[in-house]
Amino acid sequence: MFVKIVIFLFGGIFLFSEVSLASEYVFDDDYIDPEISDAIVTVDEIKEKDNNVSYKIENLNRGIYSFNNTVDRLFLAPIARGYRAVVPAWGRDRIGSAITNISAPVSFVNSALQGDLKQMFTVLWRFVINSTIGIGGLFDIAKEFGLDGRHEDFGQTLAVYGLGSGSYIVLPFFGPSTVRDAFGKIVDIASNPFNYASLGTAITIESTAVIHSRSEILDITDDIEQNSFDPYATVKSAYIQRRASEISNGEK
Amino acid sequence: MNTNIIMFYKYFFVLTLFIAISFTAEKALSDGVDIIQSNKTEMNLLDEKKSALIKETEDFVASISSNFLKIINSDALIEKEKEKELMKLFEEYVDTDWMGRFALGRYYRAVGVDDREKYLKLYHDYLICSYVRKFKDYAGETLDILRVLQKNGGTLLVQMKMLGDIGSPDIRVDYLLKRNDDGTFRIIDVIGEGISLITTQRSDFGSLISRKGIAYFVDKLSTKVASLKATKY
Repeated sequence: MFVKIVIFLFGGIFLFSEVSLASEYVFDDDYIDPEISDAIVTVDEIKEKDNNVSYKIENLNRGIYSFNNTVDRLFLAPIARGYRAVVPAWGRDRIGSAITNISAPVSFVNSALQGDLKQMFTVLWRFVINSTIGIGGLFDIAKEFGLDGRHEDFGQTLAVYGLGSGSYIVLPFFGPSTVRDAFGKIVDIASNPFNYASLGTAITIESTAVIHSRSEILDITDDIEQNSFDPYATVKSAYIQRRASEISNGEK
Repeated sequence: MNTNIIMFYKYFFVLTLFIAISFTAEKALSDGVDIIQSNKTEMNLLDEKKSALIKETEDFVASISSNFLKIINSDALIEKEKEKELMKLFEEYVDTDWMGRFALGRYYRAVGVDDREKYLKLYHDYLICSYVRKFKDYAGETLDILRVLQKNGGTLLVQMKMLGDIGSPDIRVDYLLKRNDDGTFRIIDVIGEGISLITTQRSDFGSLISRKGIAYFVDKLSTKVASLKATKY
C-alpha cells in the first residue's frame, strides 16, 4: 500500500515539474500551392481507386455507409435528438465527462505502450481527480489543473509502432474506420476492465457512449447532409484527417 | 515480513532505475538542444525576423476577433445589419479565390479560363451560404491563441482553443493565414479538431468530379447555392 502511494506520488512529480520526456514533433507543411496539388492523393484514395478490386471496396463501403445512414435516420438520430431535447446541456456535459472517465484505463495502457510517460501519468491523475473530486467522473475537474484529456486507443498505438492504416472501410453500425483501427477497436472493448463488470454494465456503457457521441455531432452531420455533394467522401476525408491528428496528438 | 521488504526493495529499485533513466534522457536531450542553439548565431537573426512576423500575426488575429465581437455584441445594429457588417469582414479577410482553387485540386487546370470566374463566384457564395450565415449560432465562446507557427509558402498557422465551461472539454480551432506583400493577412483555411475545411471540400468536390465531370459539378454547385440562398436561416 505504502509502496503504491510512493510510486503514485513520483508520477505526480513528472507531471507538475518541468521535466518533459516527449520529443518535439517536426512540423511538416501540408499546404502546397494549388498549382502543384495534383500530387496530393491520400493513401486510401490510391487503395480505393487502384484496380478493380479496390473499386469493389469503395462500392462495398458506400453500400455499408448507406445502410448505416438508413439505420441512423430511422433509429439512432431520433434517439439522439430526443436525448438532446430531454437532457439539458449541463447534464449532457456530465454524461460526456463520465464516459471519458470510464475509458481512462484503455487510454492509460495505450499511453504506456506508446512510451508516452507524461501522458500516462496525466491519464492516471485525471482518472483519480475526476473520480474523487469530480464525483465518479461527472465533472472534469482535472482540466482546471492543466491536465488535458486526450484519448489514446490501440489503433493509435499500432500507428505509433509504424503499422500502416490499411484500406478505409466503413463498419456496419460503428461507421468509418480503417483495417488497423477496426482491429484496435476490438482490442479496446476487450481491454476495458469496466466492460467486464457485467454484460448489463457493458451494454449500458457502450450504448450511452454511442447515443451521446451521436448527439454531439448532430449539427455537423446535418451540415454535411445539407452542404456536401458527396457525403460519403466528406465523411471519409474528415475521418482520415481526424485520425491523423489524433495519432500525432494534434501536431499534424 | 521478509517478503514485504523484498517486494519493497524490488519496487524501489525499479522506480529508481526508471527515474534515473528518464532524468538522464531529459538531460541528454536538453544538453543536445543547448549545443545546437549555441551554433545558431546566424539562425538568431532569422529568428528575430520570424518572431516579428509572429507578433504581427497575433496582432492581426486580436484585431479581427475584436472587430468580430464588436459587431456580434453591438446593440445598435439589428440582425440584418450585423449580417451585412460580417459580410464586409468576410470579404476583406477571407481569400475565397485561393480556397476555391485549392478545393478543385487537380481539376483546376481542366477548368476553362472563362469558367474559372464563374466557378470562383459560385464557390464564394457557397461559403457564405453554408458558413457565414451561422454566426447566429455563436454563443460568445472565447478563443485563446495557443501559438502561431510559420509554414511554407508564406502561410501562418494560428492554433487556438475554444474554452469550454468548467468540467467541459475544450475545442481546438486553427486558422491558416496567408500573408500578402502589403502586410495584410487573409484566412485560407479553418481547421476544427484536425479537420481542414478546404481539404475536406477537395475530397468532396473531387469525388463528384471524378465520377461525373466538371461541368456536372459546377451545375450542381449552382443549384446548391440557389437552394441554400432560398432556405431561411
